[in-house]
Amino acid sequence: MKHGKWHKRQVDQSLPAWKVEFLRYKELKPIVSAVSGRPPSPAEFVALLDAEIEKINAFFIEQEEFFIIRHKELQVAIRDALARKAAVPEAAHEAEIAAIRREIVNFHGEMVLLLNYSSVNYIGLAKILKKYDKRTGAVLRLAVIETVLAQPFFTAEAVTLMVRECEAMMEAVFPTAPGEGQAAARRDREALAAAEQRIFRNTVAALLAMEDVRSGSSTRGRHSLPPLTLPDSEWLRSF
Amino acid sequence: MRKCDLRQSHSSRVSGAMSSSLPILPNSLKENFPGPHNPQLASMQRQLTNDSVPLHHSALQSASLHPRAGAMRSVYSGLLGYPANPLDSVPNHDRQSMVASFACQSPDIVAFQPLSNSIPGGHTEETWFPGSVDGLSDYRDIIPASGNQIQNGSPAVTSDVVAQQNEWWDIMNDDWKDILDATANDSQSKSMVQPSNSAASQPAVNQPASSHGGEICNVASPPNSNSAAKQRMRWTPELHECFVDAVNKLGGSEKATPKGVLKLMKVESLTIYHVKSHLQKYRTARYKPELTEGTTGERSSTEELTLDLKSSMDLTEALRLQMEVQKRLHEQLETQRKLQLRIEEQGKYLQMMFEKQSKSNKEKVLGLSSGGAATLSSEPSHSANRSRESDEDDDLNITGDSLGSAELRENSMRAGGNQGPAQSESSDPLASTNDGSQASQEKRRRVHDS
Repeated sequence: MKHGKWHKRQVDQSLPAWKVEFLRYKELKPIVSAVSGRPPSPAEFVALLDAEIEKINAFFIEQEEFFIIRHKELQVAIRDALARKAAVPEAAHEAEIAAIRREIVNFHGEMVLLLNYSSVNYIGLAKILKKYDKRTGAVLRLAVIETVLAQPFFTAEAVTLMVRECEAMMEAVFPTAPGEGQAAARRDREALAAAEQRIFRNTVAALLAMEDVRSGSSTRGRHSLPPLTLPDSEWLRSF
Repeated sequence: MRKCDLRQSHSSRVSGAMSSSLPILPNSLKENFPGPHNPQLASMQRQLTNDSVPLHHSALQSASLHPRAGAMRSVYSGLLGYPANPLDSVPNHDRQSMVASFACQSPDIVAFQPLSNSIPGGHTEETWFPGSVDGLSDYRDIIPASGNQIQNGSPAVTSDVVAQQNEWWDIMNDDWKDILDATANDSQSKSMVQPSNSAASQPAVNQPASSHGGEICNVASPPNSNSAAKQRMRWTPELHECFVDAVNKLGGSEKATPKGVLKLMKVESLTIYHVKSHLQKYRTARYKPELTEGTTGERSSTEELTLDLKSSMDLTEALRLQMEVQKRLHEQLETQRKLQLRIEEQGKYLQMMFEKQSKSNKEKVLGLSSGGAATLSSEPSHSANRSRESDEDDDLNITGDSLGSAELRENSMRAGGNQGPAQSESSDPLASTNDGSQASQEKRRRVHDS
């Protein structure tokens, strides 16, 4: 039940609105692994998974759509703010820029969390397929996992691209010199939204959880990922 | 992006990947289909079920022999054998309607048709008689021929069928186009993504290449379900650009109407429903930031903050830190994803090599080898030996042997091309994942992005 615990932790630590959108690993596993009674036939099982994947895809695609819109808006906002710089009082400009910075980082964070969502679901599907093959002696895993790899929620190149573009946007609006404007900084500090902290904490949690799920396993085989040791895990755990 | 290239250059393999998505669909059907009772074939069938891929390939081979709509059905039911256990056969009347709805799919959506609605209670003991499917006459001949071999307990690979695997890999692409063109005319779907290109074009769709980058995944429902055909539209940045241009031309998000935007965009297969929902999201996105900016004054009056970390440093630094952590997570996710893809690719490759190997062994044993088969066996046997070594190595170690086979695969399967970068890329992710160092990850990322 180890992966079940890991999966649950990921879900619990995710953004509240997302919790219901994850793969229902906890529900699927007993269907497969039930010691008494018969496991589902391949057809039934695939149908179950299909339904889950459909749900995951739908959520992913919708989030992606929101992100695409937001991404464009952010680009426009940066362009406009920089263009207006000379024409507006410095305080107003600073406020705009500060808001943009916040938005960049939060936006980046949400996208990465969506990618993490994809990953958690993929891993859950892979695990459950492995369990099914093990239980029934079928060879379902390879075929199904191939289709999963082609699914919208896994083919997330657009989101990755936007993430990288966000990182590039930082250059435009973040100061190169640290400690700019102490007074303004103190004021802004008090204004940090709770959303930021939540995203931040989720990100840290996700990183640590990744390290967790990728630590040694009793059932590692040809299809397992290598173990992961983050160099900064102590630092991360201090958050 | 490398991933995109990988798919495009492996078009035949992509088709293989795509084709292996097909069994998912038929599986949900097979329980509808009671089988006749031919004892000999039934016992052979049971042994065949333990070796999924041969049926898969053989059925597809018959597809290549019958490039017409009928072949679609034969492939379709031929694939029933694939991963499943036990198998059921296909009565003609049900097959027709199922195939029509199946044919509407872009292949990777195929798997997710809710055909489970049509599944009756579990039938676990029925056998599947491939001969009951029309268009599979060749296959029927082949099965009895190799039936004896199978019943002798040898690893069940129908040798004649598998002998044409390579041919199949090459023919697959073209035949799929033909087959799906033929069946697409029967279907009511609006958009039909060509399978031989679809998997390759899907990653491409999201690249800033095409202006009409939107992709409609048509999930038509099966005859039994009550819901109307559901269109799942996947927006891309390019398509959104087009949308924004149209909206701006019409005077902004408040003034623009879905109908006007749709007309201006001139994108085929985009419906007013899509535009309407997207416009709604767009309006929400534009309106909300204006609200938050207006509340800057409120924020400065916020007293208590639960930000233990961020209260101790100034905002920009805190944001930078948050960004760093996020970047870290992103990199790890990307690495992980590439690895997952590679693992599955190799799994497929190993499986195929294993079959070629056992096939060529069988040919030697039975003295069936012709000139063609002999040359076929000389190449794969070498690779298969290497893959055997990695099979036996159960501890995860993607570095050594499996990568060696990956290299071999790339050599033997690809026409030409980028062997060098591919090989250096394949060894890097694992090394850097194992030590987790940022520097090597950065380097790897640059290599991948090239």
